[in-house]
Amino acid sequence: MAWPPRKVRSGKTRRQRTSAFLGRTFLALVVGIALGLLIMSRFAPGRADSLRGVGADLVAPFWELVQVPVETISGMWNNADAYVDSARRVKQLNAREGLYRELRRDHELMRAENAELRRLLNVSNPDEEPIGTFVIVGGSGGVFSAQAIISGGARHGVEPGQPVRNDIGLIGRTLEVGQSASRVMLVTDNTSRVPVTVVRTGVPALAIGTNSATLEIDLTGPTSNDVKIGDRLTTSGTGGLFPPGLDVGMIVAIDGAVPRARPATLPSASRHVIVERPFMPPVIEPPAIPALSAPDEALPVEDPAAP
Amino acid sequence: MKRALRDYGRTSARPSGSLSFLERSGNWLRSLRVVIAPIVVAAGLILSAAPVFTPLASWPNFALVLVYLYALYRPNQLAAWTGVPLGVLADIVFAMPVGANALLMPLFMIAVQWVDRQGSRVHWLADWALAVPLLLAYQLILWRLCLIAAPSDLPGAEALPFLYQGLASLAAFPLVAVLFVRIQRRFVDGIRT
Repeated sequence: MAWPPRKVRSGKTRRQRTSAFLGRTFLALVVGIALGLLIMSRFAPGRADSLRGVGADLVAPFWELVQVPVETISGMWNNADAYVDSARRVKQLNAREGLYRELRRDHELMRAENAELRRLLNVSNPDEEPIGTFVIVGGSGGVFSAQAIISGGARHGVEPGQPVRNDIGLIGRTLEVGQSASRVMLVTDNTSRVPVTVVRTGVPALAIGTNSATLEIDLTGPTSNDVKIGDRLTTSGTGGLFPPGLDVGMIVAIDGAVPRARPATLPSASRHVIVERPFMPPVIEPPAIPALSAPDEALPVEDPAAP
Repeated sequence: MKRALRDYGRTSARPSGSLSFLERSGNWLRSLRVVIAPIVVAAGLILSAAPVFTPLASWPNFALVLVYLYALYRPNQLAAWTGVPLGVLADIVFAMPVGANALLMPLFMIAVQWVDRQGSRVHWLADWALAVPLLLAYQLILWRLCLIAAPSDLPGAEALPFLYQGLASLAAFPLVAVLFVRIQRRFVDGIRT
């Protein structure tokens, strides 16, 4: 007696069922790989840094190319606008000239005095050495992190942990570096911490990014919390990464104990940024000198009492 | 090239040994159509990484809308497993913990296909309305995954930017849908409009 035929649960052929089973197995496998990657991100986050550098290399050329016609058209528009508006601007500048002449004279006197005092006190300032000027060619969407992609990478001398600024103020610092593009952590990123000084009072503080339009200003510690709306914040140079005196932001709201500041500049304010070397390069610890050990017994020891 | 594409229909049934170089090239070009969907989603990812810096995260996630559209209209062109490599690419481009989008994207595609099987809709506005809970749920689960996967010494991300991006993606839905239909007709179905 032959076995009864196996029940077929659907109208599909055996080949279709096998194919569907293999498809589901492969899907489960790749989803398992994705889960593994997620666990790796949690416990070994540094592993993905090189991948992000490659990602910056992928995105940068596309937006660099797209921006060429956009910049050409906007440049033409700006030139035409400046030409039409030139007569009014000349009048305005002539009116300001008188005021600025006096301010300039005061400024030059103060600079000279400052230089003389520095010379007398023997103050040495590290040079701010620029690595290059690069174009902003991408962003990260600003959802999980506030980052920008710039067109300079390892082959231009860019390294992780270098300050990035534009003509107005501080933008952030380099994070992951690809061959021809790098990711920049903006000051608004929620992992960004910038040591700052309140210009009016000289009080040190910390500008903390929040992934939003404003920065939180941490004034806790043995310092004064005397800040007013409109106070300017500049980098203090503490930590040796950012050079002192770069504009970081301005206090715009004081809600309880945490004042909030608007960043002095955003990448959208200007397309070009300058990458510099860290203000004070990290101190490299000299290699530990091995402790002196007892002389080897096998070696002949000179006897001082011997003739 | 055009002739090669046109002749494909006549040559596909013949043994490959009997085909000329031109006919074989045409077949090869036609076979490339299977990679159009992943390429379009990857292009959407690059578009989402535009150098746009807004105070709120109001730049849409074009790739997510495209994945939704493919899962809804052309699931055979973008298999659920392709969500993993595309998700890894999204994680790299958006600087998120690697694995967050990679894990969520294939599950999202399966969920969209399951919801689609539960009922029929006749107007594209209904598809847009269906996208509202699905895309917002994706963004919220993504936020939770990012919180779980981010290293413990970093401050946690807030949910609002994820929701803003979800809303911006929903607002961009009609534009992305038009682009999706155009690409589909022009490059996959071969219909010239």
